Amino acid sequence: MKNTIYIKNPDDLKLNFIKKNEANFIILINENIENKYKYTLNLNKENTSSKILFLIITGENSKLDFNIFVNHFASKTSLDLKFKTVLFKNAHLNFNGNIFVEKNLKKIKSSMIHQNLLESKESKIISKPNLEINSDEVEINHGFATGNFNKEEIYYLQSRNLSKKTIKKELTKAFLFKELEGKISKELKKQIKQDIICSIPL
Amino acid sequence: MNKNIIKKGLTEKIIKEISSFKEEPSWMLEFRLKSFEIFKSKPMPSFGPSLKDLDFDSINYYIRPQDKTHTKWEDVPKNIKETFDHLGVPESERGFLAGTGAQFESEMVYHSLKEHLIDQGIIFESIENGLKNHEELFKKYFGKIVPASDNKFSALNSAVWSGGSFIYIPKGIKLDMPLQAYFRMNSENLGQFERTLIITDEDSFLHYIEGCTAPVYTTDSLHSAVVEIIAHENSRMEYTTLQNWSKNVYNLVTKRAFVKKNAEMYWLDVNLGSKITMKYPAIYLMGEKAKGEIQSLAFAEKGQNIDAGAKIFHIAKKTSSLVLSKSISKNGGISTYRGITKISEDANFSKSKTTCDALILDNTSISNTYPTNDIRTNSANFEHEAKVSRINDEKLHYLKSRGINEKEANTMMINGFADPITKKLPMEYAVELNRLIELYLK
Repeated sequence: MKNTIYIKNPDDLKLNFIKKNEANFIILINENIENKYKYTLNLNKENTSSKILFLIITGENSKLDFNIFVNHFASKTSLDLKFKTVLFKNAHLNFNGNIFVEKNLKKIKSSMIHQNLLESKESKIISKPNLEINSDEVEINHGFATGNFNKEEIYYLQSRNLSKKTIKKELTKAFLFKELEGKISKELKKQIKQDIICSIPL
Repeated sequence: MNKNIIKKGLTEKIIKEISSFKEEPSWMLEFRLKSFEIFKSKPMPSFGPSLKDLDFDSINYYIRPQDKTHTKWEDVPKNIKETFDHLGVPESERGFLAGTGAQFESEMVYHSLKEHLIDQGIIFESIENGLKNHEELFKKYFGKIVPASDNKFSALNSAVWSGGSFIYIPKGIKLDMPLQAYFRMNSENLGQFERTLIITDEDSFLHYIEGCTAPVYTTDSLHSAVVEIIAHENSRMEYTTLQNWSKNVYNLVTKRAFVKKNAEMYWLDVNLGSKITMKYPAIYLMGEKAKGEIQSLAFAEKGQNIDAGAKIFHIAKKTSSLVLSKSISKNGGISTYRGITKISEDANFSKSKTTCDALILDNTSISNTYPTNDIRTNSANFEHEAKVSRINDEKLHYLKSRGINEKEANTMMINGFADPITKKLPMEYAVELNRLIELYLK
């Protein structure tokens, strides 16, 4: 991703996209607290587009509440949102996502993808991804997938004499690092990877 | 025709009159009156389309077209029989159905089951006869799956219910032909409040089909049904609805199934008509390895607001579910998917997938998607995907380059879009649905 801006733990974020080829964002959330996050993303001008990657790692006693509003107010706008979440222990994540497309717009593309790993029996996730579409020339999609660490992968790595804790750490890193491949500068990648490693509560 | 009409509006006196007409036991009258109190105390739904124009005082809550339910079409009053003849109901019954029920206004006018099936212990009767003839079994399940307190319209139905089917499939009986009920609202300002209770006992199978129509009037009617299903261990229940109400009907329905160990529940729901539809069939997967599937297809055009969806609750472990929702909007129609999938703490190793596809045919129409995914165990696998788009220009271009005109190409594309649902319908209904899709696109 060109012009990538890296932000850590923003509570409140309002982005108005008004120029062509604006920056893309990587947002890391690694807090173990009870917190509410409100992000508003307005695509106000024609031909604006952006990609935003959220990396969320949280653990014991955390309750994270996300409210995300994506508003397409102009034609030929596109937004690609991806959430990669790993919940450890009794972490609880609540997600309200809204994609809104105003009337009479053309060539709108919007995507909101969630991929979630729940490490513990006690972790839980509630997701409400809403789509309100008032124009016909659109390609809007939402995807949400939740599961545990792959048992076969854990078994394989255990047979290579790795502890369960190490395996979970490595699988978490693989799950999140995958999104950084080839998209950003080496320096930024190194910094984000370091932040992720420090965030894993194992 | 001996037609009894109770005056418009809803009062305790009217509820007592309905109960008296039906010669019900006292517990049922008590149930109705208690439900009426719940109805008065419950607010209107806080979500979905606006119901502010729905005037409860302008509705006829009970119209009795005749005194009893007949078992032969010859005995049904001529004008009612002609209506059902026109809809092809008796013909379908002869062709491929194990039994048929037909409701006209507030009462079942006809209910019949093939004789050899009666001998096997299958019960397929009007809900009133179910209460009269099988009170113990009826009382065991009635109001237990959808309690009156569930929502304002389940309370209304519980207060004034009339008509509908009572079905019991005994242990080990697999009915290879479907049972069908047909619902017709012929009068203006009618409220139709049928109640259906279906019990599939262990190792049994049933496919039940319901069809709904009404003529067009300038004033509004209300259809507010409650369907309760209990699928016992290892049984499979299939429930197909083809709703083609006229565009002056409020269709506010509560449908729910409890599914026991290893049992399967399958809803297939096609919504073509109505002014406003609010319908979210629900499946409670209560026993280990229970399965649930809900597939729905909705068409919304000018003046229509179709708010439909699916609710799946994984309560026991190793349960699985699948939801496929498709909708098409045109000429200012509003179609909405509203659903919930909950995988509870105890539903370990459960699997669920929800897919919502919406097609918008012009820029005056609206498509909304409001899913809720509540996942409370890490051993479950859950997937949800939603997509909203218009007809693919490239595919349209390809078809046109093969000499197919734009209108035909559009029809082909929409038939293709609806195909995963239509192919699940019995042949006779699939043909009829394809014809209705063509009419819808005209």
